[in-house]
Amino acid sequence: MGNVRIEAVIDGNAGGMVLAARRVDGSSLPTSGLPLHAPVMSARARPHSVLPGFGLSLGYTVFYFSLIVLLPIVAVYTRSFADGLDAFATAAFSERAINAYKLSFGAALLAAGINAVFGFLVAWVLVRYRFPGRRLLDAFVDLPFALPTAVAGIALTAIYAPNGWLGQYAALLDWKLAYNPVGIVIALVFIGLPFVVRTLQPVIAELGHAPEEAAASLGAGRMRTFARVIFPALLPAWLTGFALAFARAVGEYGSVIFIAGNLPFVSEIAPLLIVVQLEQYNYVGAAAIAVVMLTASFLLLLIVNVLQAWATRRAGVSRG
Amino acid sequence: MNLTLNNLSKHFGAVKAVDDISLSIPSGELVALLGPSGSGKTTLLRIVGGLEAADCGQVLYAGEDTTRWPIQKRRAGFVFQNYALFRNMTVFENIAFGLRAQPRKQRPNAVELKRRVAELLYLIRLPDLAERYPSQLSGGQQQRVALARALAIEPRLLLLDEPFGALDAQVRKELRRWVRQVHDQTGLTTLFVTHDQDEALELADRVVVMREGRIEQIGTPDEIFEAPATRFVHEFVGESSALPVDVRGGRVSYGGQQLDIDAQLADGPAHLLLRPQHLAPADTGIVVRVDAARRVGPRRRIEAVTSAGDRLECEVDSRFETERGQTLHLQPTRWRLYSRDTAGSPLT
Repeated sequence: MGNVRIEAVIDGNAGGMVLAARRVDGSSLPTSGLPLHAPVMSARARPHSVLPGFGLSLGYTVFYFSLIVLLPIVAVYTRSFADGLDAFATAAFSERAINAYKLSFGAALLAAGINAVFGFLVAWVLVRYRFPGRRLLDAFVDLPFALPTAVAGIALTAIYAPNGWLGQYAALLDWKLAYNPVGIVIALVFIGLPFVVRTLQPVIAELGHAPEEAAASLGAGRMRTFARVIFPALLPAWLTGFALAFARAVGEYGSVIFIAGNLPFVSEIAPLLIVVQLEQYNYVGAAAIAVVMLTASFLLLLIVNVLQAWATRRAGVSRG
Repeated sequence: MNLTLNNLSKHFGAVKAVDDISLSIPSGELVALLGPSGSGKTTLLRIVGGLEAADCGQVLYAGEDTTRWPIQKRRAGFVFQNYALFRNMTVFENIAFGLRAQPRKQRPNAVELKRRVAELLYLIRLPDLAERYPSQLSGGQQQRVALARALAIEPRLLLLDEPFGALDAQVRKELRRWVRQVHDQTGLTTLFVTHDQDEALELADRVVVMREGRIEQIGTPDEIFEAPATRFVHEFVGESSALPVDVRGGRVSYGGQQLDIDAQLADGPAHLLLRPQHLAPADTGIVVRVDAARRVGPRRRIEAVTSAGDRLECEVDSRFETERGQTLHLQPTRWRLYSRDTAGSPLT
């Protein structure tokens, strides 16, 4: 429909609710409030659109979204409070659970942070340089996406366990890379890498060489060029990649449990704790932990989204 | 600052982008590098600016060898083809970028910086757009900001890569004049790359015509247009038709017909190059059949075919009436002859 100016009648007494709105060309728009001041409006006078099926497809979307996403979330919340607040608090904030949250979110943040740095390097190299085997390397980046998580877990354990390929040498240095939080971070780094690489790659490609060359021709050194020109341009995509890697890492289960050792209070991640509760038929306890994770994940993603919107504005992308 | 290029060459794989180019540009001159795409003009500009390293040869800024200088040290104001403005910065920040990037000792303080940017904003006639972002500007405005940004560092010379390439005709024309003005005001030695011969001829003091990494001709716009050194230049800088002719003892013949043209060219096959404006219908001359006649603005353009099948274009007064199929005699009023075996050695 393009840009159409809209006049709205807003009633301060009704809490600023839009009572009526109409496009300046005179046709009316559907509003949620009562069309008190609107010109004569009938159901048939709805603005005609060349694309049919809005009502049907919106109805379907809302229904589907509710069924697939909203309903399970609501179920988790109601389930967790089924035995009252006290039961919820005991289950959700037991010492064991709190240790599990700390581990899950801490390891996920650390892993996403590591991925943000090294994923950027991988993406940069893949976009900027031409070398034999580049395409193969590029294809391998997706491997953590495609690999069943259990396979990843077994593979990683085979490498990093104290008798594994790398683990045995680490053991000589008294480093333990598996069956402790270090192992968890290794697994989460593995599964999160493609998120950062794949979100940054197209943005780096689109940025091109010109801004860098322009900065250099204006006398800027490499540090200044990176900090002032490249970094701000990549930041929105970078945050997206970080958020995706983080979200995946928080929820990761399959690859972690093989390498984590799963010691309560030490290397037991929250998703595993939920499973443990379920195995003990403690459904309320499981749901309570789930609710805490859900809420925390939601808040963290919200923060990342706000940051991202801010970075996007700063990168001048959404302006136009 | 005068600029000297000595025997510059640059390969990309097997392709010779720049092939042994030497060129000397006196201080304050506005020079166009003109050529079709792939002629190496942009590569040459990038070598001068330090964005590309030459395989061999020298770049001298005011006599000083800068070939191995890092780009930051050259102080060459570079304006990129698609402006390459920093999208995350306002117009003000874009222009101030180069000032802020200067070594601490030369860096202007906040007041001075504001004053300098304001001056440049005035120069590019966008004083009110300091707080806008590049994506909020039109192409022409972005181009002017890019130029201001390059001028901010008080460059020793100005390098422009297809500066008007992405703009529509009207804006191009305006910007061309404006760039000429800025050049005259600042007196900067300026090199710009273009594939548009009108732009090169209108704007430049001197034009360097390039082809396949080599210089085909260097000259003033008049020299380039009136006395093209090679057939390639003749065809590139303006419309022309070419006829294969034979030269014998100073006489020129086409398809067995003796033409009223004298040639100071060695005997042998040659090309006769004719601009549409330099052919006139007459009682004698090259015999052609009219293929089409169209009005082009205030003139009439005749497309004709000779009996040997060569095409000729001729521009006449619009009052001259003709129609398809009619036979005409076209008499060349001015012409250029080029030996057919070699590209060079032209003689009128």
